[in-house]
Amino acid sequence: MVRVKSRYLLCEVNVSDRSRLLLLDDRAVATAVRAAVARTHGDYGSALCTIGFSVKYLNAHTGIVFLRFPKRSYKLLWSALPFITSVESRGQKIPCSLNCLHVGGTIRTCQKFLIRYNTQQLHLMLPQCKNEGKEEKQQVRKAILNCSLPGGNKEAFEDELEIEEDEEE
Amino acid sequence: MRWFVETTCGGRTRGVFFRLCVDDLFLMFFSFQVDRLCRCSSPAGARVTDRFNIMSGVDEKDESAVYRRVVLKNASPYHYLEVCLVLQDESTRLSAVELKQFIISGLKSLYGEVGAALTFDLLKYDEDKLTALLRVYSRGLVKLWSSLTLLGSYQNQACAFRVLQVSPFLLALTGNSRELQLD
Repeated sequence: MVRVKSRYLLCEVNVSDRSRLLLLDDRAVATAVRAAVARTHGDYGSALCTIGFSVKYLNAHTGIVFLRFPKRSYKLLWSALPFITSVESRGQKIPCSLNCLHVGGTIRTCQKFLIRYNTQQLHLMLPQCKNEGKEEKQQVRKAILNCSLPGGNKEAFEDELEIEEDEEE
Repeated sequence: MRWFVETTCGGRTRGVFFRLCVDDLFLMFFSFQVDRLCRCSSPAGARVTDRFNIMSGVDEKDESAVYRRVVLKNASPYHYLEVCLVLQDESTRLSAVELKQFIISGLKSLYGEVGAALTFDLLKYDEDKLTALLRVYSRGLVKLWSSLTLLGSYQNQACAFRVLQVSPFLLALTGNSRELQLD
């Protein structure tokens, strides 16, 4: 009985229209998850959701969410995530779906996974930007080399944000 | 081929088998009470073999006198519940379909869509006494019973489900000493 354990789910929000992704808010995502759990698992599910659940981190540019669930009931609550069809924020309904990438015991392990995942994504994007000029290729290469473990991960995040936005345009 | 030695430790009817090499064999005779000794390739064969059975006489007597208790876990895939619905207004009548719909609505409010999808059957229904026999898979018993407990109102009148009998075997529900009438 030394420590309260929880599970952190690293989810990706898939939206068809990328510009609407920026409207996302962590409270909006939390209400969407609670509503889906209440629909799927009833009063029992919403009771499980009140105590340990929170949205720990939301990146509106890349659509990455960290959800925190209590360890005892995370599988039940995880099973309700595919039933989310839209997130309502600031009066607008954004049709989206939540896709879970990783389950970790701490935020740190989720961050380590996220850095590796982002480097893989950048590696995938590199061959696609061959025809668009050498500057972007150099930026992508620099970002890949800059990615490091939790000490300097904030810089790695910011670099990747800018580059992903450039790539899309 | 190995040597198998069966010993009875502490009054058990079935002994423990030891698989040994020849050197340990003599050590076994000194340290344990040996019931059976044989040389074959597997413990199953050793159990069957009776050729070198040292204490064979004792075993046979034990077999007939010993009391065996058989305990079955998860013996039946279904559980059967006999329930009675008690309503505030005693004259209302429900049909079988309405009762099943009512129970499903209770499951839905407590356990959501997943709970409402729990399959259960209404095997017998007595409309006058509002008594029903339900059958549910054993894994769903807790969900069904808890939703019956928390079901409080039917069409704006207070109601309660009284669970009279629960058993994994249908035959056990035929006799009930509470409702026994000696006439």
